[in-house]
Amino acid sequence: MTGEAALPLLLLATSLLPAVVVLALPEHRALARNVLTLFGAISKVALMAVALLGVAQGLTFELRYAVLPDLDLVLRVEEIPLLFLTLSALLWLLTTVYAIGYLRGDAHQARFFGFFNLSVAATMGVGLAGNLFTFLVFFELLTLSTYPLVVHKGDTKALAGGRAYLAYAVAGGSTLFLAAVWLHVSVGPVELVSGGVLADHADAHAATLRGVFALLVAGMGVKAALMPLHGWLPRAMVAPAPVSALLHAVAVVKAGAYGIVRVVVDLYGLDTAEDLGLLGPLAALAAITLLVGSARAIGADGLKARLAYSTIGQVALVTLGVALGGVVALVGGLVHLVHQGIMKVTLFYFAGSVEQELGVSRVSELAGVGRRMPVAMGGATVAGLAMIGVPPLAGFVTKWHLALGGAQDGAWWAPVLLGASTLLTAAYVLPILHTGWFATPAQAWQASARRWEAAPTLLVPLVATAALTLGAGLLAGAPFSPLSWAELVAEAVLVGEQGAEVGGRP
Amino acid sequence: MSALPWLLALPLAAAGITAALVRRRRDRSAAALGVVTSLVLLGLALVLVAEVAPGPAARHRLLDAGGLALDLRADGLAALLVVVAAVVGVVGAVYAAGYRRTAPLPGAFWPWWLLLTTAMNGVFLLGHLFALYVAFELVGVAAAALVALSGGRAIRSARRYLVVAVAGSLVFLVGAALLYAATGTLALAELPGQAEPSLAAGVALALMTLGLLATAALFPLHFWLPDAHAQAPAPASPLLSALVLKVYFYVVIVLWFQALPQLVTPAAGVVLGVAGAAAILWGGVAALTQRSVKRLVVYSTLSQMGYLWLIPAILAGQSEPDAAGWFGWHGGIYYAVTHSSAKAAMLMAAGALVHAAGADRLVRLRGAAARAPAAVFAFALAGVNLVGLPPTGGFVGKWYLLSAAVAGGQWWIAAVVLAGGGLTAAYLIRVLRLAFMRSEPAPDPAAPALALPALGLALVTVLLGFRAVEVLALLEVGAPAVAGGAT
Repeated sequence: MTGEAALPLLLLATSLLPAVVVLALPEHRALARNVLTLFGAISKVALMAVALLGVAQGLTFELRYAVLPDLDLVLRVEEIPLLFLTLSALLWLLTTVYAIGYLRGDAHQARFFGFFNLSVAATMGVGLAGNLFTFLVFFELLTLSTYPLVVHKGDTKALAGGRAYLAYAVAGGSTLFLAAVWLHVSVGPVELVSGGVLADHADAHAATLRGVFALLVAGMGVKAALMPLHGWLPRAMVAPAPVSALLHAVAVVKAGAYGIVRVVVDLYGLDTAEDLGLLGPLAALAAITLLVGSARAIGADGLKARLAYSTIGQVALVTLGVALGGVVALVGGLVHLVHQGIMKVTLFYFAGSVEQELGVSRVSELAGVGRRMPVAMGGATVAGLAMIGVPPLAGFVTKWHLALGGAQDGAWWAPVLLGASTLLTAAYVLPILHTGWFATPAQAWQASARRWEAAPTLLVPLVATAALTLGAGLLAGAPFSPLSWAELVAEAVLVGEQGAEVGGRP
Repeated sequence: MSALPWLLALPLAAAGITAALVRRRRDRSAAALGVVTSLVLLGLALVLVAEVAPGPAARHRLLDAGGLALDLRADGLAALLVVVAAVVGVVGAVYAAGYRRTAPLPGAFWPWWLLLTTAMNGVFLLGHLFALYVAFELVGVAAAALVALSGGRAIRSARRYLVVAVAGSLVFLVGAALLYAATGTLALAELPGQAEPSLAAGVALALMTLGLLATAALFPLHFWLPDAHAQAPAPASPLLSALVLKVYFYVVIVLWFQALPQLVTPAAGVVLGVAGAAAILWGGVAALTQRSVKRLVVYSTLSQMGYLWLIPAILAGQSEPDAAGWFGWHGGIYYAVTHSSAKAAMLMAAGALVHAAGADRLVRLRGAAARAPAAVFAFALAGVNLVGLPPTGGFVGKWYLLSAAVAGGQWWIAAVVLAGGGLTAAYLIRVLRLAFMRSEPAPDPAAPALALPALGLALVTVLLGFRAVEVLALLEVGAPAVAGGAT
């Protein structure tokens, strides 16, 4: 096997092997379990660095394996996948540290970390997928491997949440399944390639392609929590905080949004999707989700519930970025894949920390947290302000590109929409910050405090992601920043589109 | 030297020897012989595959006396099913050998089980309709005897099963006799050229099919199945649910698409397909209402078998090979193969869980994921295969079945395939929900001797999800014309 094929395989194996071993290990072998999981996570980050440098130099890493006579499993490291993969690898490492601290003393940790690692493997597969078939395989695997994590607490509420999660995910998966088969039967095997591959078929199969697109978006929209397919997300909030963090920032919801990006950009191609009239409805769907999701977050008093509705709105920004159809907006959407991840994961780390340390799970109970846990509260403040879009933080970079891109392409409503979303975001974020910093605590925590601040395993990841949020905005112009990478991708897409136009349509 | 005659002679001889051993109360020796025999059979089955894979079909003259020539033959499909039976057989034998150390299992299990194996191999390999009739009778008797081993209420269910099996075989025999009158031959190899479409030949085929459908428990002829399969001893249920039903299915598709394709009309195919669709939905809904673990799985069998009967709806009446035909044939058979290992794994896991819980009640599974993780994992993995999700063989089978539906424009089939998957997921969640519940007191841990074979077979279904190329290539040997075969 060549080095080019080994890299995708290693990216999978660094979590697949720990998953298998950890599942087989007895419960009391905590040290072996943690070392193995962390070793896998650290190796994966190192491998990602190799991949980033390699792809920047123009190398391609591809693994191909025939499952059926006319269908290959294809894993490929490319520009858009790298955004998603780097984010996943990095946040997974931090969340592993966080989860080890969060679950200390809890039961069934072998099962938890086994499936935790398996979920990473599935996410890597989703990210690396080089065709729709491969995407589908890992997308479904992601559903299956996250179910035991969602129901980890094992109480009635967790199990009900798990049932809702599976019901939605299986329905979405079936929709996606039908779409993949329909496309395969109609136009043959197609790969996901920068710039899109369906331009040649747009005339002959217009109706089929529209139908397939609707099914694809519906199938992925369930995971991406596009309204009205979002019902499972607030209910799945019963999962332990590190799981929610991953579900929202990297794995499930993000995988759905990532899938929509790849379908529009790498399967259909922006121009073809535009010509088929698919982007308008998609943009409308994203806009509605953005507004309604944010609005519902305002009313939620549960901290995690508020964050869940916030995710629905924030992830819709990614979809909006591709749906606007222009290159600048595309940059905004792509960069938000990363930005939403680091901002939201910080807030979930915060939610988990106050819950674990102080037993607080409602926004109204946050009074005095700023004095008791100033560092954690500070991290949450950075992430919260970034989410609103305060310059120069990460969220501002996103919204700037989306608004500018929309305005350039004649979508006058885009800046208005983003303005409205900013107001709504402020309306649900600022109360958290205000209560946390300025309100007077109802009870005295200091008396019962075991330590100042949260445990280091919870605090370090939080500070790290908050710093990333700051850095992604401040250093947006630096090489290898999410923004410069997204711009690189957008350029490649543009080249690919022109190539498809020259080669594909006379 | 062909492996064909040994695939019948060996299990038959072993059945005789184990019967003698059990008579002398040497159950342990019988179990050991059963396990060894199943291993050798697996070896023989693989030799057969090596014989058949390069093509053409393997053939062996078993008997040539008094004007009666009796052939054994195996094309790719038959060889594949022999291998599937052998794989499930090996794991089933290991499971049974482990089971008898933890729970009472009558020694008579072994001779009946080996006789059943002989008879099933006979159905797959015999090339003559009268010989097939004899093999059917044997399958029915041996299977009913296995059910009856549980004693008590199971004896009534076994009796009912036997009546259905004998009646079905007799209807089949009447059909075969009519066919002989119309064509002058009962050898499968000679039939394709002999049978002109005529009323008599049509009625003959219809009667044979009807007899087979009753014993295959296709909706609405399934009334006898849930009791018989659920009440059988834990090591017997996997063989009954995973293998025996497919025997009848195999003969129907051989008759319809290889021996007598000129007699088959599209309408007849749709009738079978609709019955299959009804089975998928009815079985799935019924599984949602069961309170016993084994009955839930057995209703799942009823549902999953329905997928196989969609094949006739896709292929019937076509004479030209087309994409839908290829997809339908290969997808349906692949689904049958993967269902065999998944269903056997699921029933073995169910047996392990029921044994640990002490009673066959769903609510007793509360907290099972903590105490019997391997058994729950095996159950879940097998369930994932049945839902048709990756990374399992069930996904590959459904991929092709859906492809066939889309390519042939039969959207109702696509809808049924997906709806069936949804129902399967729903009853799988019922089990998982209970298993993941944190509860005191938790059930006892499942015996590893029972959980590990189940897990092994469940992993086979995962393997089938990653490598379908070779299996599909084997199927090309002797595939019918509508499915792109050379003949």
